[in-house]
Amino acid sequence: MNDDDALDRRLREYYRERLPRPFRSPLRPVRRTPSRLSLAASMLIVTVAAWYAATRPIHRPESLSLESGTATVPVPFRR
Amino acid sequence: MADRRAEFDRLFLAHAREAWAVAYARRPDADAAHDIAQEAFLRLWMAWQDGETIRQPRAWLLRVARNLAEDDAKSAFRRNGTRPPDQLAGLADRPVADAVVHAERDAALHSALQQLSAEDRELLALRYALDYDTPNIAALLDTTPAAVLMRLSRARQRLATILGTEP
Repeated sequence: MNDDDALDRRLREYYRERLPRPFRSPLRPVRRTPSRLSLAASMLIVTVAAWYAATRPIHRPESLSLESGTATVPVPFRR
Repeated sequence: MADRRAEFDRLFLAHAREAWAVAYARRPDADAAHDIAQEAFLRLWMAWQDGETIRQPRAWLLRVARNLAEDDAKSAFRRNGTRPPDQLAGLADRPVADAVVHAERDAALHSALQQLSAEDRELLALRYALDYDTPNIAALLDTTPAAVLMRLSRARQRLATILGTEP
């Protein structure tokens, strides 16, 4: 291997391991408190989700329904 | 105000790594150099807030980063008595035996680099950390491409000599 190439590679590796990633800007985005509008929108979403969860019909598989008379009952093993 | 912020973000994206490279050439600690680069940009922002007109923000930033790094290197020397080698970077990603060999080679290179002048280190950082080509380095350092090539070649020779004479 060429000595020049080896030194090049060594230098690149040396700096690559040190170069910060990512660079942090000293002026970071300010974390804002939520506006009234976004707060109201969030409340509405939560309320609708809760209402839907409370009122949606519970799914019962027909095969387990007592009224339908179609349930498959396992036959007990007899000697 | 929004324009200023946009201009600041643009400058930061374009030149933060350069500020780090010139700081690292004088204060060979990656995290400290990162802090110094940030501080240089913060000072630019504060200068703008004070209504200062800065005609060449890039050159201004790099000059501030160089000065801050020199001051910080002096105070670090006063605090620690020496500049702690920055050898632990990247070691966690390697197998243990490999990491030991790498740390030794890395420490040797780190130590050799500290024997060069700050100008040599700056040149090497621009070339090898930022992968800048010769015309770009020449523009940044306000010199000619031929001068950059000559200085780079001499800096590499000096580095190779120091590395070659180490046990």
